[in-house]
Amino acid sequence: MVTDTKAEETVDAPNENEKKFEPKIIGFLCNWCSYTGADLAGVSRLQYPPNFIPIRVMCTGAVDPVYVIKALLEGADAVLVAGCHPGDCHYLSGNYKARRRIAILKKLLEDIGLEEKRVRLEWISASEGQKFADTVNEMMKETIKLGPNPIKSEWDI
Amino acid sequence: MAKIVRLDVKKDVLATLNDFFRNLLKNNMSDALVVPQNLPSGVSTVQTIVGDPESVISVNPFAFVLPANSADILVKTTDDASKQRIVALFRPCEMRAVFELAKLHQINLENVTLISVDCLGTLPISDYTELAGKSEEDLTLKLLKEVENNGISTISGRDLRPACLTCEFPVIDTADISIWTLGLNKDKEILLSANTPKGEVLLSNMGFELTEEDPSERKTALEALIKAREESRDKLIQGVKEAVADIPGFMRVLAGCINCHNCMKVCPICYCKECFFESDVLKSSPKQYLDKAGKKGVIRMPMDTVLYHIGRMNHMITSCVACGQCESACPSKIPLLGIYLALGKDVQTVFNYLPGKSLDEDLPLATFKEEELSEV
Repeated sequence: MVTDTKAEETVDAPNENEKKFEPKIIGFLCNWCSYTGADLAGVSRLQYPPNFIPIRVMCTGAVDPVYVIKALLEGADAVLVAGCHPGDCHYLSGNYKARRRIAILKKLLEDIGLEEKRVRLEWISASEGQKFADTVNEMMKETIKLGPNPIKSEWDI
Repeated sequence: MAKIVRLDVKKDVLATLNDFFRNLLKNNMSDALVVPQNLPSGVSTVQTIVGDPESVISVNPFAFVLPANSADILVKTTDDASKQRIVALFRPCEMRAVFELAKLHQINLENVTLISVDCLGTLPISDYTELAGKSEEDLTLKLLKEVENNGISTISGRDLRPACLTCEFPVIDTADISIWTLGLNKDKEILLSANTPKGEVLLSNMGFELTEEDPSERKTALEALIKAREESRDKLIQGVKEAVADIPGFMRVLAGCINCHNCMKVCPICYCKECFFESDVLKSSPKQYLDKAGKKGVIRMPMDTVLYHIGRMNHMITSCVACGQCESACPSKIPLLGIYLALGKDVQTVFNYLPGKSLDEDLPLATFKEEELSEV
């Protein structure tokens, strides 16, 4: 599913400094929509950076924000949480609840000075392979702009 | 217009209330009471569960000390099958925690009648026990007089707990009954306001006659108190927000954390039987510790203090009633109250939610709207 293309090739002409930084992005993908969408991106040979690490979860509603924080504290530069479009949740309302949890998480991160852009919530259906690839490419670009996640290098966490 | 009962004060305000609660049990208005009472030693005041009218001996909801947010007592004493009637007396911050816990399905309020008091604040426990140990007369009555004469932010030269100094809810008039003392002459009378049908029934069953009135003295005193509290709240929030505004600042504020989890243990909202942060989910194997140290170069021990704090906030900050017990329990004096006030306000504003305000508003994390938060 993950292609071998280097991150640099898929983002638009980063400058010399930015070129050295290869962000690590963790993705929590819902089993029913976004993981299948990612699969479709792979099958369709759509290209997206290999330093995106997908984790399959049964529902975005099952993603405790603690896991997102843990990823950020332990080396991720950004985290994607992706699930079914509103109204399409396999468990009816998991994605709506995820949206509220992510809203809280983003507000808290913003308050302690960690760019809320490092956490992203997206709705990607099983048929949206292209949207999945675009989302990851776009995130990669934005994260390079943001620079390395400042908290991952602190050892006193 | 509130529905009021006037209780004449004969000996003193505490004796009057003690009689009221003793009669509640004696006249079989309730099977048990949850009331704060002075300890026999006189140096502190604690919540008690009382089953016998003869054991209602030193009811004191005005003590300037709050050893615990005791909303938790109703978690322990009620469940879905509860049939026994309980009358429970709480301070406003405890009452708001009761409402949150009821909405979290941890308390069954069906047979519980809630009574609240006007609260002037509390001192740190150690300050209070020290003062009480030295005092010849009843410390509560002495301090009540002092407060009337000298204002509301320091008592006998000691600062109130930060949570009390910044408390914008010194009264809560959504309990079944509230005991009104603010701005009134406590040496002469106290007012009981029945705020719900349940409260009205209890008071009229006890033989009281309810009259409709709205004492303006209380309103004026309350407005002045809330204004002063809000000013210190805003000041505290501003200070904390500046201190934690970037990662280094946030790390500096949390630097003293020893990962004891006291803040979670005393938190009325943290009701989980097993805390996520004490569960096996976050346990590391010997290999994982060393691998991590190898990869990162060095890790702080104990691990995961920042994860714990941000994680815990995510779990419960929407319901935080800012009672400040976390800060009081912190051995490292981390300014948790300010952090929870400041960050809590921001999060609660997103959902337009005031924790503990009423039983009617849905918990932000237990509900959703189909169209909302498009910016997320």
